[in-house]
Amino acid sequence: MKFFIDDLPVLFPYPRIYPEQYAYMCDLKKTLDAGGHCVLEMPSGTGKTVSLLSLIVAYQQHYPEHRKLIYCSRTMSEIEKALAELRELMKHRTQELGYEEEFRALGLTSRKNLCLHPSVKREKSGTVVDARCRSLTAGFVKEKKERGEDVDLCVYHDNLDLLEPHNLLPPGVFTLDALLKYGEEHKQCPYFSARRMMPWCNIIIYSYHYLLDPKIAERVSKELSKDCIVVFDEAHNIDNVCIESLSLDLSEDSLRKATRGASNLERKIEEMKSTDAEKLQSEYSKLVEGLQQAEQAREEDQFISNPVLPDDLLKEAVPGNIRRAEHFISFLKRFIEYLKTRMKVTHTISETPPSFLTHLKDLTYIERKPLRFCAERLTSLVRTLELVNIEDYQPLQEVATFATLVATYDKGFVLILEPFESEAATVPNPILHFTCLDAAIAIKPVFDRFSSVIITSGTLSPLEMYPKMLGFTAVMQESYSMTLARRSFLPMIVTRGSDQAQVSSSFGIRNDPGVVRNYGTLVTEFARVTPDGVVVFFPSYLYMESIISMWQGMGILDQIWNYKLILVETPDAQESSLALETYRTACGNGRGAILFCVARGKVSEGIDFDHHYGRAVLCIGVPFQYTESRILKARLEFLRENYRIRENDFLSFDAMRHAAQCLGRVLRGKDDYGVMVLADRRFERKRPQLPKWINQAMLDSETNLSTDMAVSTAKSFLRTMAQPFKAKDQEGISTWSLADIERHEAKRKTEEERLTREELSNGNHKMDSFRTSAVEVVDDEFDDDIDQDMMMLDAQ
Amino acid sequence: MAPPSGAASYKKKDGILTLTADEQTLTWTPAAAGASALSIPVTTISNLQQTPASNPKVMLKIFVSATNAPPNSTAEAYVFLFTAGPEARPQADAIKDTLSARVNAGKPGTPSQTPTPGGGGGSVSAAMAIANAVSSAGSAKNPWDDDNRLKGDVELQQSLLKADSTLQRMFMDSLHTKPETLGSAQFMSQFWSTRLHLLRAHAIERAQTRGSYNVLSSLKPRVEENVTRLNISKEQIQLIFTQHPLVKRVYDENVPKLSEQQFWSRFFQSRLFKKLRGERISDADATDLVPDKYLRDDIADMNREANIPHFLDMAGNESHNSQRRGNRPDLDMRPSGVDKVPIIRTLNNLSEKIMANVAPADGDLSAPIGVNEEAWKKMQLRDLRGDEEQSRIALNISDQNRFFSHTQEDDQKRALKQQDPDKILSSLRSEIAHNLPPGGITQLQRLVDPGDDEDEEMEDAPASRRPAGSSAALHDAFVQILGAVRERRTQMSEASTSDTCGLPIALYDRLTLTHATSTEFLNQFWQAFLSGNPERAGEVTSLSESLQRAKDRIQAVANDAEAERQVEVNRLKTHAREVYEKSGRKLKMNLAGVEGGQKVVNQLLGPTLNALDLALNRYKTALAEETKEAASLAV
Repeated sequence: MKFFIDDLPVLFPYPRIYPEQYAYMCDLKKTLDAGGHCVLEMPSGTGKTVSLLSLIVAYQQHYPEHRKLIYCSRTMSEIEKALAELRELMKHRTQELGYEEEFRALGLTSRKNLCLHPSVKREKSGTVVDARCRSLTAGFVKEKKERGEDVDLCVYHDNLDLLEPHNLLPPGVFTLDALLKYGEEHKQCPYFSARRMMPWCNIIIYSYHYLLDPKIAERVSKELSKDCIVVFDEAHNIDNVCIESLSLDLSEDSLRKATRGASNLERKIEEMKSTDAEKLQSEYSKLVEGLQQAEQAREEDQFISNPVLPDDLLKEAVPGNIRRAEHFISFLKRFIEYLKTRMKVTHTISETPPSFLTHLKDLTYIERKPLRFCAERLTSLVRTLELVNIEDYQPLQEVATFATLVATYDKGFVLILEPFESEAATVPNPILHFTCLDAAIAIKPVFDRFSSVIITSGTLSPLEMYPKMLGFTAVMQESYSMTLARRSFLPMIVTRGSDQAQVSSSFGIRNDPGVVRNYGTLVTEFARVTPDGVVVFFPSYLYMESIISMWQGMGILDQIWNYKLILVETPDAQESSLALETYRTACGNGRGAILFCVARGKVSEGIDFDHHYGRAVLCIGVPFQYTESRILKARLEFLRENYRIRENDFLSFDAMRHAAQCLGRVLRGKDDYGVMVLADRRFERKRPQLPKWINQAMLDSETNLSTDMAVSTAKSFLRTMAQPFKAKDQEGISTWSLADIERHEAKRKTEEERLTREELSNGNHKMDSFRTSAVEVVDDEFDDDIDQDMMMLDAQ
Repeated sequence: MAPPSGAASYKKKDGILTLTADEQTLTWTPAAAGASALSIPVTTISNLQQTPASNPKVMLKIFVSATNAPPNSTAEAYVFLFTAGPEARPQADAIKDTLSARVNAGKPGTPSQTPTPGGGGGSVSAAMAIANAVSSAGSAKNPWDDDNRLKGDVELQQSLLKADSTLQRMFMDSLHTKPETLGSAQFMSQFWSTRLHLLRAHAIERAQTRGSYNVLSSLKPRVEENVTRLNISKEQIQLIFTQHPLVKRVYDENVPKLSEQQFWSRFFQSRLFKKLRGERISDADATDLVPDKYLRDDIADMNREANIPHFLDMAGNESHNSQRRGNRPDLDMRPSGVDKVPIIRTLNNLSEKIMANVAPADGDLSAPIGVNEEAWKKMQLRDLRGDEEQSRIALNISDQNRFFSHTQEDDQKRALKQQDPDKILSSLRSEIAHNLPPGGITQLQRLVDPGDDEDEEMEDAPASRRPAGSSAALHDAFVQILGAVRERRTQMSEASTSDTCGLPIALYDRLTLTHATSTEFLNQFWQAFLSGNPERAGEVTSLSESLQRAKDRIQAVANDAEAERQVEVNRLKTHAREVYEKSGRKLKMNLAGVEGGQKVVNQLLGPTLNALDLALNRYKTALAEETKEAASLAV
């Protein structure tokens, strides 16, 4: 259907629309017009993505600026779904407009997921795929080939050179599937096709990391202009992604490998010195001029780019003591040796980067400045040496990245050395965590560079938390409620088991057999009353494993087997995917299944359990983070000191967003229905922290239930839901037709007019009163008499 | 479809590879003379191999095992290299697809069912999904897809009749009243030809079986007199064997040595049993050497090559960002090894095994990746989609007037249609101007009842011509409304709660049955009559007789009803007389209040009678014409 928001014609690919979708689009348009950032919380399963895309495509096509859209999502699954929605939308537009718009949209994921090379794509690990791909596609490899050396090339990549560089793919929307298929048909590399076509796309859909991770952002996203619209979808976890992109771990093992890598490099340098000393010399002279020049040789095939490089660093010349290749290597070796000695400590150490640097300088005379150039210097060296098997140097690269990061940032980071794996361990296995504590650091360049950044998800409550943590100001913050013609989802809080004992996953009682049994009964009962699919979320892997083992011992699993097939998320992603597929088959087949998974795990991100794939979702326990973690403690302290966010507020916010995220998985559309159970006594107090749309749907009487009460409530709810529900029943209430929109608009306009009129008259009134008061001031002395006169009049 | 063929070389000689039209033999004819032609019966093909799509060389390898060869003998292999350049791949695919469909079907003769691309599972309706689930992976053709088979399956029909008592009664009744000329086989096929959907539904329903379940979890030992006992049934043993092939092997290799009972009792106490159940094995557990020597022979790793759709692909999500870094997960998010919690893998393995022969929900996992349109359609917001497109067939009834006895209204409409709107408007305006004096002062009475003066003359005029608002018209309306209310009341009233319209229940049942059989005969009559098939003329004659008999039956029912009613009336009369004789008080009798009787029957079966009459009349006229024609021909 087609409607107007102000002057903007929007084509929406459905004949009906949810009122919240309409409101969402209106607010989105306001934000785009105003040119600022916004935070929008839209109920799960109400078609957030399609509304967002419809509005932005309409916006792009209508206004002459044709602002590009960068749409970021968390996982490949979500990217694929967004691309498919976009493709449907464009099909609809073509149909409505009667002609095909010149439009390109592409998605990007890792080489591993897009590779077609018969042997490379079989590699299990993503980093190996990356490395092998580079060894087949790098520029110098091609040069070697041209020189007649015997090197392997990737035919899919080489075929790209035969095509026009700006027309590697025909216009249109390519899902990842379609991209792979097209690549296979035309024997061209999907990954490089997509990456090289980025500048010509109207819409780019990729992962957060491509914008946030400085290494990748530099390469993939640098051509993007300032007026791009940036959307972070499913952004409830964005702060953690930001932090992740600037944190790393070093272990003893990786240091050992780094040393080996350094020695290898040394050997290579010696070799090159004897054969091609000129090359090293030219690199040296380039480095004198500064990295900026070296930068120009930069191509997509380069090794790995540097972490955040401030501009001044790029313009500066590389310090003299690491300009020579052999000097640089010995510098690196010294640094690694220092780290190794630090690892020998047997007590936990936590320190800030400046203190680390001071200690480093005292011991090894390594200065801060050359340290900052480490990552870039290594990249340059690897390029000069034309190394092929780069994966061997991965640990060395990690050390160099660490060096650069630790020398670049003073604040917002912490180094934690943990000599033991756990409290109980006796054999040391030291790990050096370099942790970013401030999410704002990684995302700052994004906010600085782009004028409109939209942060949206189904669960962003409390909204003000995000601008605070990420350091930006939002022109619009909105949380939408869900209009429903019938109560289509039933959120409940179960605080007690069937024996009236309280249930909780708190550390004190989580392994208490009584609690475990109560949780078991809860799950069994829901497996019994719920048709088709049931999803159960646990707070952590460890807890899930222990509770499942205990249930097995108690015979609870045997009872569940009577009603459902049982499937579990496992550490292995491939295996979990197969389990998920079996789960869906069992749900579709009528056999019914129950899926055990983890609230922060793989399943909770990006996998939907719509319709019969999820009729009930149970959240066993509050999904708190592991509170004993030193990293978490450091972060909490940082948040309190810098952003005035109290520890408990943050912990509880973090747990509730994950819980709400799990609950939202079961809804897709308003004809869908599902039961949502939060099973922990602590949820009762945390209810206000749930997103508005879930909180509103929860009755006060259903926030403190025992297992039996919850089961009977769910039973009657499911029976009601099984009654036929026609699309007609919700027309005008929870779905709008075009006429409804127009009616709404008219109402809004009259309301607005009334307001302005009132304001106007108020204004006039104020003016009047002002005037009278002025008069009054003048006539002050007569006042009393007048009053008296008036009173006399009244008395008569 | 022409049989697939393609240019292919065999042993470096060019030739043509063709599949014969009956898809029974694969032949290769050499292009140049000298080489001998090759012909492979499709039934002997045991396996097919093809070079992957990425390989520029298109080769097809066919394994042939002779039908009577010992099972261990290696199959003979033929390798064909397709040589048609760019066409090679499609040609090879065509041959391979047909062949693999053939080989998989395993049954020569039945038409091959090529698997739908992209997996049929996602696109078929829910009912079919269940159906597919039943017939393993849905590759074989289901018996209920074949109308003739359904019609011929007497056993199925009997079972349906047994399940549906009303249908059975109708069937028996029709069978008894069928014309003698109609053979019972003929009757049966006629009866069922209109009820194929019922048969199909029943067949599908019967084909549904309970899915298999996790046996090991359902086995519960019980303690009787300090002896642990466990009973297992034959079915359970069978299930154990299918779900745990390892147990089958252990059983195979040991049972002659051990007695059956011994074997099972030792198995259920063994570590192997614990392992299969997914329990952790502790050192305290007793070791039984016989079953436990198989402990290491793990279940083959189920690491299948599967193409999971991108929207579910968690492995893909994991490798989505290959340059991922960040600190390692917290202690409680790091899963411990599989050995520590064997139950998790066991759960997944078991569920996968139980679901193994069910068509997967998201298309064939072994099919090449790519989600089809249907799957994406399923992901759309369903309630925002437009109304479903109607797939009904619109029936256009020409000249509907014939079906209504009351044409008055129509006349009126026609009269209105002929009037000129302009004229009416002007007359209306003038009337208003006449009746409503300017200034807004007017008598309401005059407006409501403008024809007050003419009332008397109009009284006798037919109702339709009375002006609106006249008292006569009001009276009419009053009568009509009262009538409607009365009718409504009788429908709602307690007296006829039994929904039998005052007829005794036995009689009412007879009436419904008569109605059903009459309809059945009408149905058959029209089918035969309208078929225009001269061979069915005899059938039509006999059917017309049964129609006549149907009328008679209705009449009989009506007569019986009347008799019943009379009995009731008489009873009331005698009662009244008795009362009169006893008390001398005369009871006011409401004989019209006695319901039922011929009238009701005729009312209820009126449409049927009409239909019967119509059918008979049509038959008679047709017959008359026929005989006339025959006579004229004879002349």
